[in-house]
Amino acid sequence: MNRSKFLPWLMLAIWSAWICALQGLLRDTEPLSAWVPDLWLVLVLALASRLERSDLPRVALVAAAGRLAVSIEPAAAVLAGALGVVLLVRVIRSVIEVEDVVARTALAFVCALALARWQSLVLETRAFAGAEMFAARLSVSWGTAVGSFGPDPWSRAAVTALAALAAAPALAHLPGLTPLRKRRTWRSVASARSF
Amino acid sequence: MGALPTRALYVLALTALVYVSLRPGSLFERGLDVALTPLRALAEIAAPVGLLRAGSVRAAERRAASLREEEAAEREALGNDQRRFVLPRRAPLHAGREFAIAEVTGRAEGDLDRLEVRRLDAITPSSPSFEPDMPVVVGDHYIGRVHSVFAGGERAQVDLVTRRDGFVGARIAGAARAVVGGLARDPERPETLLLDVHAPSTRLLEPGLEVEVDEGFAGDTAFAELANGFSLGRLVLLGDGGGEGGFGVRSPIDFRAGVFQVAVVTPPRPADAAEEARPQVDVLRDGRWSRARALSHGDPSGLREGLRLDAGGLRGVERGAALVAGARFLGRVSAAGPLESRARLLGDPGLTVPVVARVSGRDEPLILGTLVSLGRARQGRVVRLHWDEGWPSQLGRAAGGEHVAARLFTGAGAQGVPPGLVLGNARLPLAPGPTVVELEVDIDPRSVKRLIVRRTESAEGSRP
Repeated sequence: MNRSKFLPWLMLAIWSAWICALQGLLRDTEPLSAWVPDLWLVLVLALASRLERSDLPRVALVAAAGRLAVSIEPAAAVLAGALGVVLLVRVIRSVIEVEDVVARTALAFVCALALARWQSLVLETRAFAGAEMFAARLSVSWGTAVGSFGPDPWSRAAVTALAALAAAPALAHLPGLTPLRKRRTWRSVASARSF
Repeated sequence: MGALPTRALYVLALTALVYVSLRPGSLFERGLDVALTPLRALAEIAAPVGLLRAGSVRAAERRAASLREEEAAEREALGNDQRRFVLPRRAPLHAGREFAIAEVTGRAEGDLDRLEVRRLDAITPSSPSFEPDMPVVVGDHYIGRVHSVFAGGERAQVDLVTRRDGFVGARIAGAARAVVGGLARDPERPETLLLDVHAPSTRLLEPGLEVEVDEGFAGDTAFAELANGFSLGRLVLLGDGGGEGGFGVRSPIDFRAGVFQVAVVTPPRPADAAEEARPQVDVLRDGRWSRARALSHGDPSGLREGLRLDAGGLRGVERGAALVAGARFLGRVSAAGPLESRARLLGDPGLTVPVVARVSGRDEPLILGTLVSLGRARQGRVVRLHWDEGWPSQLGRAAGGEHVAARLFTGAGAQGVPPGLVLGNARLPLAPGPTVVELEVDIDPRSVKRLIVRRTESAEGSRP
């Protein structure tokens, strides 16, 4: 990969890390916490709906790398989440136009909830594995305190959907990412249709 | 990544990652942590985002500095009280014996019935040494015997009486004899684990009788006699009573998560041996600590509470290591690469920590066992913790209330976490059984960006 191809991906990793760092800081700040969108997800959706099909796994892996740089989630879980989101977009965009306002808003809402459930499931599985002797009793407290989707899943999914509605095009146009989009031709649309 | 991955490869990779995500601690996962070490550079690039929180960071670090002396003194006082209460209370149990106090550092790998302990006093020429088969007690209660000694006598493994082969001779109410060891399950109450009673000399026994160790004058080991007279607990009839279903012993000791300090019983020194000061070793000053800086400022998921740290395996940081500010516990390392590590803070759901409490109106520290974090409550300063045991029913209820005020500290038994670190204030529910404790933290761990992390203890001598 030469420098002109490498730099946009590096910029994506850096933007992803910055967005996740800012998102983490705001989600750790009461009373904002419940109303901070998953901007990283919006960035991934914005790029996944615009780039060539062959670039989609790379979008998932590079964006996941940015998130992993500032997250304490297990690496495998973040990578699986990113690949899962991109796979979903890849399938859906062969059926509908995911850049459409309604479609991208709905997709962001669904993906935000799905990611929250996935993160919660991974955390829950690991916590219960470490407490095997009293897992049954822990599950009662856990269900009440943490829940199946973690804190504030609906409000977070809603603001993520709104962010996708309002900010997805802007995120796809972040400085340094232009070369990724410029590679897009009518061929990429055709390839998506053929999935 | 030049070539197009096939759909099958993509789905295969996704499936493998899902599998690994739900199977913690695999070799693949540890390899992935090492392979992702270069992401440290990205973390450094994103670190300036933390400047947005500079004000609260300064405030939290000032607060931590101002509490340092006070919390260190609290820790020392707690340690002194724990040592006082780990020694036998009944005077006859002191006769002809000496005691060396040790703290539990963890369990032997894959063996819940074998404790690893570290002696608290410095070894001097006159101090009694640990030797295999020496009895191990907590207060007036027998819990097992030394299995092996390592690290120059500073550390030992202790076989609990709960082991299947951890037999000890016993006398029931001063009359009947039996052998006690291993675990029995009461068929009427399967959640209750009891010590098993073998070959009682009579079956005409009443429940509630006191069961004590009685190894005779010689027993089958050199130090067996030293264990005589220590309590094992009270007799329980299994099944529908009458002794047909067998017998068990209910020990007041929580062998699963409630043994933090132990006393190893040693023979008395010769009468002419000089009395010598035996200074205590303070783990906070043992030099096995490393400064670390937080590279992240909150988790993007909004579900987790933790930090990326700039210290990793090359600086001796390993999974499980404690993060502290002064004598205050902030969290534990959950994964470590060579150059950086991930740490879970107290408010991260699923974080486990052994806890001991100072309960108002009670001199003896109360061991709560291992508590599991359930995350932060709506009020930002409150962390909820799952307390599986609940209030010990034998302590009764304090007059006039549903809760009792307590100050919580880390206990012993978690590798890499020194005991006695301050957690915060809590109100303990006075009900037995699983419950949720609300812990109020004086210092928000999320706002402390310069911390101290425990380095590995592997240089202390290999286990047998």
